[in-house]
Amino acid sequence: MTEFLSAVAGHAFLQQALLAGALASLACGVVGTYVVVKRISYIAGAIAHSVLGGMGLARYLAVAHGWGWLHPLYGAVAAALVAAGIIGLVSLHARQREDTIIGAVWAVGMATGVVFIALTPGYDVQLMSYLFGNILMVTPGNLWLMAGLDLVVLAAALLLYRQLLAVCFDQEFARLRGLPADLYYLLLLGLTALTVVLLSTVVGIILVIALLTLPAATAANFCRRLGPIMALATALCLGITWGGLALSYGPDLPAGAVIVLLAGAVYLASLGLGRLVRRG
Amino acid sequence: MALIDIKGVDFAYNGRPVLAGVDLAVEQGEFLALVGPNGGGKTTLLKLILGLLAPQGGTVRVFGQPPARVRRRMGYLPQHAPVDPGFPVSALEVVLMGSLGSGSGLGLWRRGQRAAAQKALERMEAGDLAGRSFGLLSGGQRQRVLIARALVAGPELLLLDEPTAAVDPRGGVDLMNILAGLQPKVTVVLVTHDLGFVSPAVSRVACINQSLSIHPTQVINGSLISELYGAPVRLVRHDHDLEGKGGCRD
Repeated sequence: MTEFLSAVAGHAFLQQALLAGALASLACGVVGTYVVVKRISYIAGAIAHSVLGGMGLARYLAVAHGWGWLHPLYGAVAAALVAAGIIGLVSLHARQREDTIIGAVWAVGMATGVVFIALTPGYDVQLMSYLFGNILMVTPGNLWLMAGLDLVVLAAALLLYRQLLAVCFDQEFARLRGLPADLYYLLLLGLTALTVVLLSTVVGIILVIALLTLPAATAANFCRRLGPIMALATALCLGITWGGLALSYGPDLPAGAVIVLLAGAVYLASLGLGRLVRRG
Repeated sequence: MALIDIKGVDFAYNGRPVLAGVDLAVEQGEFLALVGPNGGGKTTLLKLILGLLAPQGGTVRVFGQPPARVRRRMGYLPQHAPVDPGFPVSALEVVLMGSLGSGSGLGLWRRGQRAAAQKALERMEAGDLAGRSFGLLSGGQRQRVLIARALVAGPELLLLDEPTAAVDPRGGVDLMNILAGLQPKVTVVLVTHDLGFVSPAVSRVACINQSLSIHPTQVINGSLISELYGAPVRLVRHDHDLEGKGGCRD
């Protein structure tokens, strides 16, 4: 651990990685809580995987067509929002086919990404870092984009707290009260999409679903109100990303995978601990 | 003009008639029970009054207007509130959600909203539940909280779909007495298949099985029920009167 701390002091890339983890944790705690209580983690999974399509396309355009400014993260944001829009509209208007469409968006998005990465000229090691994340390769430019996404997500999720709560708790009733419930549902999926992109920089798109839901699910074992769950989930997410980064540094393991393993271990421990707390 | 004015209403789901030629006038301050067998059209009639469904024949007017336009003046308790018992929320917050509308602005709950929610809970004699977790309440307590959610925006008309369905008999009688105490300020229309809870509190009973007939509460007896349900029904007289003052039939 002391080795990791002295390395942090000496290396800018580690400081940037820690900062990226912190930025991702803010959105993770707040939006992850909405995802868990609304029970839409499967939708978040589909959005996460479809992000590969956007990343692959952006990478292809950047390399093959010289659109150098088009960072894969921009493609990720666009793909995530499109996927959220498709799934949201389908689930609002054609309920009985919702699971089919979610599965289709999931796989078609990934397939699009794989094809564009294959079309991209040159040897491309990026596929693995899209899939499993590489928090150590975060650049200052990425950090600014992440901060911007954070600002949007947190502002919307906190300023519209009451409306999002009402839509998560009882969408039918919210609609009856004259609230534009469908619009808020789509907004919630949009916020989920942006958060997925933020977290994918840390753990990659395959593992993102664990980091989005496990801290919130862990926090829900200890708190019985939305606000405290959000606060605890944010703290847990921060501890887990930083802890995973530190644990992976010494033995040179992939940081994303170690972070997700740590999230899983913390959740398992909380199940036992939560039972003890309730019994006591 | 009656508060609810229904004239010659027909409604069918995919060609299967549910309501035929229904007339009903409900006056301000009434406590009306709609009873009838499952599939008899009770919930459909309630949804027509709310404007969630449009009649295929006849007219529905509430406060003299098309129902969808005055929905904000009505409070509604759905039959099966699609509510996750594990949802991390307090009873007070559930009630607060009833005070949201289209122009609610940004941020957290306002102090006035909290006070109104607490008052709505107290009207349902559930003020002490405010800080409790909604998911940990009993069926009867949950119904009181959900009715308080329907009351918090100050509706003049309260529509309740099977409020006593998941409630034990004692809790059901208590609930009916609380609802009876809301008149005459709030007009109450409730749907139930549970005749045992009906008589003591309500002012009129409307029996629906496609068509509708109105009865004063005293005359609910075996022959009426078998006529309504279309088969002889063994009527068990259960007064639910634990204090020993009077029965359903005076």
